[in-house]
Amino acid sequence: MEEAKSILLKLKKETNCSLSIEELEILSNKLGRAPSKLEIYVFDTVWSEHCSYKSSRIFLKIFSNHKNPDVWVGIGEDAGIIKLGVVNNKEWGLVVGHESHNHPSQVVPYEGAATGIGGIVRDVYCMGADVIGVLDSLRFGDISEQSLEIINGVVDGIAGYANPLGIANLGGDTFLHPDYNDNCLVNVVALGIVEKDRIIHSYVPKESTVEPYVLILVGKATDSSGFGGASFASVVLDNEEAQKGAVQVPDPFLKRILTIANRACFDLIFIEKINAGFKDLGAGGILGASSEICGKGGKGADIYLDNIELAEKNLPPEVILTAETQERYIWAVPERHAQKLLNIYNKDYELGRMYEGACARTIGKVRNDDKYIVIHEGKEVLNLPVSILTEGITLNRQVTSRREKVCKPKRKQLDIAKALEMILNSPNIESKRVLFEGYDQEVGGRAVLRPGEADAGVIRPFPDSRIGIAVAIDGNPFYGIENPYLAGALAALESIHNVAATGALPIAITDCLNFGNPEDPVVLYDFSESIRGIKDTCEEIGYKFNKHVPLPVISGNVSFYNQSKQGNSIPPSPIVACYGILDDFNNAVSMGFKNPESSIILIGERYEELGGSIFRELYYGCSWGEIPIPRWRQERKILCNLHKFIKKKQILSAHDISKGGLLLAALEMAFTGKLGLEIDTSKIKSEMGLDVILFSESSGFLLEVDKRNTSSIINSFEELDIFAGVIGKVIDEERLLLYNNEQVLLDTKLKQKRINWEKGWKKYIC
Amino acid sequence: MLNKLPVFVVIFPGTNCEIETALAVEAVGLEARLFRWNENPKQLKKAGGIILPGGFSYQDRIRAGAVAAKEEIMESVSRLSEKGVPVLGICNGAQILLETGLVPGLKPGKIDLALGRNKMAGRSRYICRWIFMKVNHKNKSPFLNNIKRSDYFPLPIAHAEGKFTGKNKKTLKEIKDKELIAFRYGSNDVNEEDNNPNGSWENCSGLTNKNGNILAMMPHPERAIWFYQIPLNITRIMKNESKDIRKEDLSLLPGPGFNIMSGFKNF
Repeated sequence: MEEAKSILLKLKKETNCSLSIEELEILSNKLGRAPSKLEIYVFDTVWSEHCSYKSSRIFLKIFSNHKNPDVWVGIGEDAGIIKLGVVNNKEWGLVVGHESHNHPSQVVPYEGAATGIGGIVRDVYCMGADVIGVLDSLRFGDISEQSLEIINGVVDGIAGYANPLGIANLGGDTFLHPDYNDNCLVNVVALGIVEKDRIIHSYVPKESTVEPYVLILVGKATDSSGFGGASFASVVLDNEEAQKGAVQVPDPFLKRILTIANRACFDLIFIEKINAGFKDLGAGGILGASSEICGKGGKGADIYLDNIELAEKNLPPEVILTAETQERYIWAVPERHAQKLLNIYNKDYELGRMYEGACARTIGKVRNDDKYIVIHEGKEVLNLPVSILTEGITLNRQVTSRREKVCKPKRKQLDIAKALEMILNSPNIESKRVLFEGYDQEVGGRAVLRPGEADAGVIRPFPDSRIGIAVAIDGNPFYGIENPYLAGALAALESIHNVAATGALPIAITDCLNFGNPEDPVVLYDFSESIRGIKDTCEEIGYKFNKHVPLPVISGNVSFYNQSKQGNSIPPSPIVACYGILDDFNNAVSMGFKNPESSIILIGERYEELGGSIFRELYYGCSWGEIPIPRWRQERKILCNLHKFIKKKQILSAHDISKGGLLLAALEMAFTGKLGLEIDTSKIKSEMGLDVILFSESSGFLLEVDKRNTSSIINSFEELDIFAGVIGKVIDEERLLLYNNEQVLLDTKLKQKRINWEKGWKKYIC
Repeated sequence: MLNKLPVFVVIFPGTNCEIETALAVEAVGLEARLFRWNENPKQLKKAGGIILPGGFSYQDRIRAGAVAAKEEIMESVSRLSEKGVPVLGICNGAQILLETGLVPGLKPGKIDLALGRNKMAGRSRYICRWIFMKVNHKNKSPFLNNIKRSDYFPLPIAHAEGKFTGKNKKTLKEIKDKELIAFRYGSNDVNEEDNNPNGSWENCSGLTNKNGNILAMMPHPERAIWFYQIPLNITRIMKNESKDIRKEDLSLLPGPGFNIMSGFKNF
């Protein structure tokens, strides 16, 4: 035994792999012998946290029990697909993928963020879809020289990839917090649309049993970039310089050509009724994609490394197999049709002329047995059952509940003007308009409500239909620090609120779960709690607000090891995107005030829930305390009733109350509409002080409503036992008048405040 | 005549606005056909009009539009334009037209102007924003006939290199004197940044050739075919528009881009 162990130790050292000795022992047992060096490289990739979800798998199971016929593709393929509706007599679905590219963005921000976009759009494209939008959720450290470099690199990287590719930016959110100093987060979402009949799955179709199938690799010539990328994402960031080689190199120009060439291939296989499998190359490169596309179809493969176009000479087999060279896809198609696809890429779209070494080539065959065989320089270098490559590994790690922090601040005298000034000057509150102007929000011509115009981005995906899609992404790190369960629940709930505020019905969510080191039992406990929170929100709110059908989670990603060598972990950061559907995009509600003299209605009582609030963080310098809790029964009633009145076209504008609380929500509506407002705090239901009324982030909505409609709306909410009341009105000049009965609390001009807020991020972007 | 022939929308490697551009052509009642850069250029003879859409052709290598300008297909475009076929270049398409010299086209084959990197206060980078512009009513191009002459109208821009610029003062004067400027940025609001978002010479946002059958413009009309596509903060400052315009059915109300696209019908 000891001898076997010492062999493994030696191999581990020689290959510098990140698998533990225990994992290498599991591997030896499975193989019935010591692994070869190549096998260690292979399993270092497929058993990485990134590829195998080995620590998270047992927790993620709770998402898999959702049975919903409108979910066409759930978790397990490159992207999830949910039914949208019928357009021109054809059924269409929404395709979504959600990923993180955190480590790479910390090390080389531009390339890291750009390949993040590159990877997620590939996941959606390869389902046969057209990608129509991206979102980004970003978390950075406090403003410093280092964080500004990362911020600028990430923002430019997102723009530098999505703009040339021609994908519109539909929104996102950005938070700064010192706990992200060593680990920024770059979470990205891509949305696409696909006809149901034209969905292409990421596995070899069953027809491969009756006729020979081949594997075609398309795209950039394979190089060594991104070698070790999957395992790099699965360890604590250590030596940043040394890890730069594990980051991939983006090329949106080549991707654009591949995209239109793919479209021609999709047409071909649809018209000629060819059954095919298609998959993007992401983590694990050729190895990951070829073993999965075959293995998930119950097949094996012969892979000929000598047929692969290489950008560098003499690459060893482990590099060819697992490097994560960008801009590549793999097809599994019947041999008799292969030449037609090769011609589309190589002749019609001249891949080789566009980019040195880019091409489509046949690189292997689909086998009818379970063997995955790799041939290099004419010799068999790998021969394994495909199942051992694809089934991954599951670890049962320890979980320990966290210790609660206690630092109760003394109550301070409230100076509203001062508090407001602090909040408005916070980079977490200032408008992100400057960032959005660097992204193409218009390309595709689908934009209806852009980032900043409403709580969610709204697009019109089909020129021949009035269907609208609303999408928002959320997650509050201040809540993560206080309570991981509530952070998960509230991230999901806020994304739902944002979508609902436009009038859309939520149809699905996706999540990205960003955490520290899962080998730390407390981190893993936080992780499990956040998942439970997301699940509870989905079940309580329901698919299209139907309480009997949970809102499905159709895609997601886990990112662990967001922890520096010094042990500084990020706050538990569950980030959730919600997708909603509108019957008519033209009825979508935005957030800016529209008409002077219309009423401002508050929906939802204010509670003593200042914990994790921006107010407490800035005014007290400590965010400890009770954070908002979801009041499920009320929540569904509020959302359904709001939806009813938006459909009746009685809501002029709507905004959910979240970070910053009620006063900031009202100001954002005023700033966006370039109007002013009066608010009477005596009209707000709360047993608490003014700080709670104005700044508590308890969930709720502010609505702008025409005077003649106010009473019917308020009565309707009151009948449901929900607090609703007129708390003020919109005024024509840019001014805030805050009073309590007769007593003026604050009277201030807003124009300059608005300009400062709009341009706030200019000082950070160079 | 044009009404019977399709408008060809040319796809270069890196073009990314072809689909919505073709939809915009169809929206004004014309037929659109997508045409790949390496298809047989003889096919172009069937074109009643040609559009070079937006994007990043050849990755903006050398300069935006410079490589595409040298493609064989551009020789055919040039020959057809001499015969009077209308040609519209939008954004990257405009950059290609300037790089071939077709616009302003004072002397055949001579490149008189370039589209340089945006120059703005504080920072100079890619920018996506709605701007206002006005038609130069002294330019007699049929492309401009359907646009209301007196008002500023909004369109979105999305570019890093949109500053019309030239070195030769005599040439610039000639372009100005011959009224080849088609559009100028500007608005009723005296906010300098918004009035000229990229530092363009003469606030120019679009330019034609002498015959008026070739129009190169940086803003994107195909993204503003319908009124609902205009952001709310922009509709609010447009003249003669109701403030709760969102409440009406706007999905069929034409937007400012419609009248530019329908200009093809005037040839």
